[in-house]
Amino acid sequence: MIDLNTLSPREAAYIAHNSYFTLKDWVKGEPSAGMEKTSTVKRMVVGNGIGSGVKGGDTNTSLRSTDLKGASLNTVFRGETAGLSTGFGYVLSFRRNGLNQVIIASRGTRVEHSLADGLADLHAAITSFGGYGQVHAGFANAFASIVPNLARQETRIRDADIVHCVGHSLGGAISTLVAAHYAGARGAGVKLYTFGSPRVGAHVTPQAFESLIGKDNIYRVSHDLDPVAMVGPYPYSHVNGLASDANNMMLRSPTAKLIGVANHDMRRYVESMSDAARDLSWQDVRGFSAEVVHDNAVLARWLLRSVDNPSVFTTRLVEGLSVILKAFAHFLQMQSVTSAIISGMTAIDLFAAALSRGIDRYAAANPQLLAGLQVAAVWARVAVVGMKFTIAVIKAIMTRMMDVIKPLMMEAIAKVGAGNPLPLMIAGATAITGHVIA
Amino acid sequence: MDRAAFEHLYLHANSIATLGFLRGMARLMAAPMPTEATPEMQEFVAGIEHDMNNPDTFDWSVYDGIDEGVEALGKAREEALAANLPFFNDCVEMSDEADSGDGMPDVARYLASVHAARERLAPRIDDSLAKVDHAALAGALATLPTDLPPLTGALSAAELEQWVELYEANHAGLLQVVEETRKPEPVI
Repeated sequence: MIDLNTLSPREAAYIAHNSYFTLKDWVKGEPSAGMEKTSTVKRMVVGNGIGSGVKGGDTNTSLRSTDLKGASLNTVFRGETAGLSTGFGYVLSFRRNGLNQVIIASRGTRVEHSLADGLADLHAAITSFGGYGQVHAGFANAFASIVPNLARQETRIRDADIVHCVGHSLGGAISTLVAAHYAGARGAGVKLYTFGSPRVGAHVTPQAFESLIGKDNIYRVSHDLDPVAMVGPYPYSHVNGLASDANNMMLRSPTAKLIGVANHDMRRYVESMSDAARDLSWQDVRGFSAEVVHDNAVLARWLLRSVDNPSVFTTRLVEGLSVILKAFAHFLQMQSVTSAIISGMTAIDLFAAALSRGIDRYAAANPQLLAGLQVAAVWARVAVVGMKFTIAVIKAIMTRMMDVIKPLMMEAIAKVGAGNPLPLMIAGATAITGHVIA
Repeated sequence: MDRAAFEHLYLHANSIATLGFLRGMARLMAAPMPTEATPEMQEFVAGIEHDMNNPDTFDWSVYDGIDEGVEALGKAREEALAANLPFFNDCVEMSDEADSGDGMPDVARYLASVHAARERLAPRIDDSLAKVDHAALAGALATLPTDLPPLTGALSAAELEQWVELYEANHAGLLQVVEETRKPEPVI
């Protein structure tokens, strides 16, 4: 049954996609600093959806073909990252099912000057957020920059029966904070929809957000081999990040078993939310998600191959690393460890957690694992003969993993949205990899 | 060491390391699963849960130095690729089963793949021969058992497997030979 108080998968995906048109000249395929004219954004969001850079045959994500065709574009708002003010999203309102409903859409953040935020590392970049816990400062700063602009719509947002917060990639991260902010202010009636969002909060913050917004009101969609959705590393985690969460909708990636930037492209998410014959329901999407294996052994294999850079990523070294990760995941399974927290972790998270808790003791308790990891580390030459399997070795492995994922993640974000290669990055790429990207 | 002897050594050292790795992984994957978590693993999971619930307890230093490491790897890779030499692991065809570490590798098939890659690897072997630490390598070779056919000559699959078993037994001299022989070839 259609829930008229919830955006449909197609509506949410279209909004996440068309919010990028708030960036100046995105519609021409040549985005630049600044904010797009409201008339153009209106055309792309609720009009004919055709611009000079978006031909009729391309993905047209105007809401005109949906139940939201009569929605009103109330404002296009700005956001600031790295001292640069750009079009960041929009507020849309409509009435459905007898209720006044508002959409706050946010796009990925623009950051040519990622170092300007002064984010040196994950720890330094972490900051408190609204008394709910710790989030990445890059996201918090971007959120803070749009709050004054959203305040002009405060009455509309406050008085709405339902507020829908929508975003893709970094827009998903910002939308998470927007949803938490308004859920805290309003007390109820806020829904969150994200596609390919990175992790926003650390430690217990995601659970605090879940309590605030309501787990059932959070619709988190990701492709299983989308590199952006896999980071930042532990102790960051996703809202609705557990495999058992009904609205943790991890879908099969367009690139099948290959990690690749295409899996992060919003157009691919639009396709995943579409069916030529009918409008999909969230129950349909949950069904697709059920086809994906959520366990760590699968996550550990994402390093195996990339479609994007075969000259580097198909090397046996990467394959060796993937087997190391697989072995570690297998080790946890061997131990019948069924912790819900563990089930939501990637292999990188597991290594970080193991380091934090003192890997030596646990590895020593399983000599077979220790021997296996040693021989793998020596083979992959992340360790040298005679080197104990200690913190140094694990760090070497983690460095290798980061060395693989970082360029993929950067390329994924650079190609975000309309699919055009762009000099775009987020406010503090640290939020993604945990490391500054110059 | 002459070119012919080093070619054999290069191929065998890399084969031993790879086969040892694949066999080790296959054994690990095939190991029976305990029915209960060990106390150590229970403590491990409890520790993670504790970290998640107590922000001040997580040791953020686990990420220290990784940025610098990634930067160094990037530079090394650029240099390695600029040299335009083949890499052992890219030249030797492996089976899908062995690729994923799911099954025990077939030593004979693998050895055949290695020999099939000899010509492609010739520039790399030449480069490694020029760069290898001959003194360290000779010292390590001198510690190898003499009752096995030498690594510097042709080996059958059965003979190579004997060396792999010695490697798996952590024979210090063999581990050193393998490492010294592979060292000149950069890791990318």
